[in-house]
Amino acid sequence: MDDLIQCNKLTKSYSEQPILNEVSFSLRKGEHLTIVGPSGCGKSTLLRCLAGLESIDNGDIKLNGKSITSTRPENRSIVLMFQDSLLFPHLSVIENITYGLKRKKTPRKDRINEGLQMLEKVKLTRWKDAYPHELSGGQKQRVSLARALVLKPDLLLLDEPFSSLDASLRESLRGEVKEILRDENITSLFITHDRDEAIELADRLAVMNDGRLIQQGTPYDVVTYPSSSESARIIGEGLSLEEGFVPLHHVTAVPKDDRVSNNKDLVTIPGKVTALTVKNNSVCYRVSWEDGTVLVSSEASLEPGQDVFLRATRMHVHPYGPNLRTWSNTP
Amino acid sequence: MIGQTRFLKNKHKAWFYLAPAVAVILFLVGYGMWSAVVQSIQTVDGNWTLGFYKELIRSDSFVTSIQFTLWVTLISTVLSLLIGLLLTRILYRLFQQSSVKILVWIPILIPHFVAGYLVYLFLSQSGLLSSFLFQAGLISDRSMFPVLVQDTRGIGIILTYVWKEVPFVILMLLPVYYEIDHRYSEVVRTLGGSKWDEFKTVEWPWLLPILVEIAIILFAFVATAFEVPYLLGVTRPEMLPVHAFDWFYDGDWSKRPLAFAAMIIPGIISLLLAGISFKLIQKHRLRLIKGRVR
Repeated sequence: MDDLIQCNKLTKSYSEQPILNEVSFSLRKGEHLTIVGPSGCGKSTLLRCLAGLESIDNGDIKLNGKSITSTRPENRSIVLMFQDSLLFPHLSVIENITYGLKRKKTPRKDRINEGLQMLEKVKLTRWKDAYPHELSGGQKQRVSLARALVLKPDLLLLDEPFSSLDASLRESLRGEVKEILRDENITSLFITHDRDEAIELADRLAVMNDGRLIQQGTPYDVVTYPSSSESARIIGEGLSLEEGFVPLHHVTAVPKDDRVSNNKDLVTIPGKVTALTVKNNSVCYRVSWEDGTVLVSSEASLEPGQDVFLRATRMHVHPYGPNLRTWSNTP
Repeated sequence: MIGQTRFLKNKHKAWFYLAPAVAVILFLVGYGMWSAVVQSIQTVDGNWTLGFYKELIRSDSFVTSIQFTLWVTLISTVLSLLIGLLLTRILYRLFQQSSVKILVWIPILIPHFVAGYLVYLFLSQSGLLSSFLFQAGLISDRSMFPVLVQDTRGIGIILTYVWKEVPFVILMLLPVYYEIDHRYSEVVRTLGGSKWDEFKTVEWPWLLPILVEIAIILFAFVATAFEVPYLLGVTRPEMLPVHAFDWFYDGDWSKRPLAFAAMIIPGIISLLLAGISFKLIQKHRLRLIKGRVR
């Protein structure tokens, strides 16, 4: 009952093509939910519906126990942060940040103070009088975040806000953003198609495909024990087999001649080393097999192009199914 | 090819590309304008003087004429901009896919003189509208129809200009509307802004520079065009171009410098307005262009 937002069977279609199919979830105050899914699965539409920029065909959205399904976007305490920073180019940084406060008729002195405090949190104080064209991509997104947070919305929606940034900047910025959201006790719903981003930013992770939420859980649970092959393909970290899923830490690559034939306790899949890499100071191998590729370790020294077997013990194959593990909200 | 690339990087390349057009303008228009300026500050004996300008400023008929010209120009410019902006905002989405926009362009194809004649034909006391109202029994006499053309307030002239210039305003504003990134409107809404805030924050900054430019073009044109006020105006007050025309073709050649001086004044006002607005708006325009997300 202490849910901040409750979405109940949200349905949305464009030209009779279903985009959202009975999407239901809830979020508690201060919680960070990340929805991950392939492009076109309905993630952005879901955010737009929550922000009020799109209407829903069926279902109900409740914020603090009150239905906001037909509330105008400007009257919802929900702010959407877009893929691009979308700063107003003719306004300075401080004017951009205080834009929402001005709309709320906050007195000038107060809004400047609040804007400057927020600017300090995003480490851009010395840029307060700059114009958007004078900022880098990362700085623009920080200003965009500050512009959203200064309003202290009940819910912050983030629509892949780091997708236009380069990899290293994206990595550093998502850490900063999570910290700021936690400090401000802002409830957030983040969507992305980037696995690492999804896992890192989430208290709770949901997987979306074809307009449906197909799994929800802690990032560890979802990544390690996907409830379906669909979910495994999108976010699972391991081998997705017909009979179930093998978490990556139970999979190893062995040279082809190491195969222990007819051992019923082992699962062996033929594959080929396509690349060699280093992860967490350990040598890893990217092995491609008939259903995709996987990054695994090996006790043997392997070479790119070498034929190998991906091996796991059968007891570590987790059959797909929604109720195999109790879902918990704590990592 | 390398030579060409190096040549294109030359900081004077813009001037090089513009040179043919600038040469034609300087030769055909520039010479005429220079000649007019010289004649407005030179007596028949060839002495330099500002006497004609002083005489103009002291002349009641000139002051009345310039007041009337400013009135007609400002009203028709403001009305054209307002109506054009309103129509563009309502219709730009429709115009994107529809050929209906051709209907809006029709007035652009009609010469101003013909447009003036059409307004006369429809709106004069003996015109089609008054005849229709009379036939319909709504007025008992055609003289009851209000004087809308050849009137002292310039209503006929203003109506003609508005009818002619609104499509021009739409033509200029449509590309601006197509260029505006309407995701910014959604940003405004989620930050708590109203529909009015959407217009003020997202559309107005892009519209402002082009509206100022259109206003200057319309001001310069309406203030100095001859045919419409000649056809639809009255003898007093008379718009400046008609007044200048009278001075120019008057039997008294000594008044010709006055005619030139009278037309140079609105020209200088237009140039000043263009220069000042360019200075004020260029910074704003550059900020928009550099700062937009593409």
